[in-house]
Amino acid sequence: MTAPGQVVVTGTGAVSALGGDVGTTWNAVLGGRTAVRHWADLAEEGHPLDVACRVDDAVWGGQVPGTRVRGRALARRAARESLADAGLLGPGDRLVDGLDPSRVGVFVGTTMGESGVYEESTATGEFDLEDGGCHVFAAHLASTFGIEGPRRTLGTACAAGNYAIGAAARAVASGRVDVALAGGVEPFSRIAMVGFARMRAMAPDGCSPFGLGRRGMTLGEGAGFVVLQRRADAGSARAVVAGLGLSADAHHPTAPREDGSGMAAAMRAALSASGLMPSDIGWVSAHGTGTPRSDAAESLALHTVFGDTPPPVSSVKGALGHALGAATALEAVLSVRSLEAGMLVPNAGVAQVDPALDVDVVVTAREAHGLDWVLSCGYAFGGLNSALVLGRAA
Amino acid sequence: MTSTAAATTTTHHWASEPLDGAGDAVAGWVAARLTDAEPALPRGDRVSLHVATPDNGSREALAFWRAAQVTGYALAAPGAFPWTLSNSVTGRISLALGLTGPCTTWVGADEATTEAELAARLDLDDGLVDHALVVSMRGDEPPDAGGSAVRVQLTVSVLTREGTS
Repeated sequence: MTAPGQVVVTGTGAVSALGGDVGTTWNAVLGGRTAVRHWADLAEEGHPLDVACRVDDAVWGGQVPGTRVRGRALARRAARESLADAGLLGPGDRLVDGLDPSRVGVFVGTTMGESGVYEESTATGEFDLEDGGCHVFAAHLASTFGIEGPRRTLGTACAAGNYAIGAAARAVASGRVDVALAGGVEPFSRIAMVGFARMRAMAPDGCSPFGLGRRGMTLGEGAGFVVLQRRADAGSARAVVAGLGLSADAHHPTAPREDGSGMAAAMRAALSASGLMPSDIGWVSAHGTGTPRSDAAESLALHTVFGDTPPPVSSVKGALGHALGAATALEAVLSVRSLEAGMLVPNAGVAQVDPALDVDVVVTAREAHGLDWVLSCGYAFGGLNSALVLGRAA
Repeated sequence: MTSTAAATTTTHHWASEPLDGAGDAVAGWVAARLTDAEPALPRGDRVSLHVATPDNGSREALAFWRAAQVTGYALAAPGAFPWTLSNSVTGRISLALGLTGPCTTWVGADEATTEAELAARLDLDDGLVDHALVVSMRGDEPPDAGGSAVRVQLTVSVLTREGTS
């Protein structure tokens, strides 16, 4: 059994619709900004909805990647930042001397792979799984950085980042690898844009997590990565990976259990894996998609686990949109920053919190001195639930 | 790394007739095989599920998008979209068998199955579950833009902790 707290985060990296690195994204989210906007190209293409959170040209800084390699570019940029932050990136995008590349693993969560490759197949009449499949991101990162250890892809949709970080932490804790690059990536997907719109899961005017009158999600994109090492091997640590809890609803292909019992089971499993009590958690980085049923179920789950007064709750999906396979990875990166700064980020996009949910939604950025443990939650279609506990390193 | 929990393993194999790589045809076929398996597969919250697949959801995504080009996006089939996700078959199995424990999807070629088996053994080692299902599914041909039918090879291994009934 893995001892809780044995694995630490030594580096973070992110690309989001609000910034091309962790610091820019953090400052924007903390400042209550939102990337939600209308996109003329989507309207011209005939999409039923044209509101999304996309990484725009300003973030790319004049180096906008092609549609077919967009996800790989997102992953590479965030992964590079995380490796550099951990002090493990040497010249020429290679790992630093002295770090055995065969003892470094890559664990990537994603939903659909390189969506642009799928989308262009209707015009070209060709599709190559080796160019578009979910596994291309891990392969690309391993190739880019000369990583020779395990390359693993966790295809767990909207919760994939948590699954990847959990699997990576297990590999590090067990001694299978010394370093793990773990996170999630999702390029903007027109397939998802159409699919979620047709399922009536999207808000026409932007996501409002836990908001009164919330109407659905807003699609996002991005990448988030962390570098994990054993505490004993790490020079310094940004945060502790305490434990991952997983559960399944066994209820419906897309809808959560209305009582939130599956979500609650994942939260409890995470606390158990971490050796913590509910009262230890100082903040919940919620899944908070802004869909009426999911937010209601998540609120019930929080009451089930934490009782009458759950800890403060924020969802960053009102700021960044729902980045699918990257969502929980980005949220993990921001949770690390919250633990370091002792600050809770606001739940952007909400004019009025839904009082029926009875949760303490962080409306404006809030100081949280002594914040020791964060619960970061993500749930996926298929009723697959995850909850990751991260802790303050000091 | 070594596994410490002694486990017994039983294995099932199935092969499908040609299936339409669209909607829930493949996921439904897989779930039906597992539901009808003899002896019955373990169910409940003390069972983990690890699905290994090189391409689940890819055919369905191509088919969804191909159809959307014909109908226009405003009339794209909403019921087909959830099956474009790589974890769709995992959720379908979980629903069919009533599995409420950890359910994970590993995407890749042979290494995905290797990882799924390793993770299943760790689940037993860590005492998370009493049984672990490893489901390996593979089509006879990679997905293509034209939407060819697919024959699915399905292998299910059941790992059980020694002493578990």
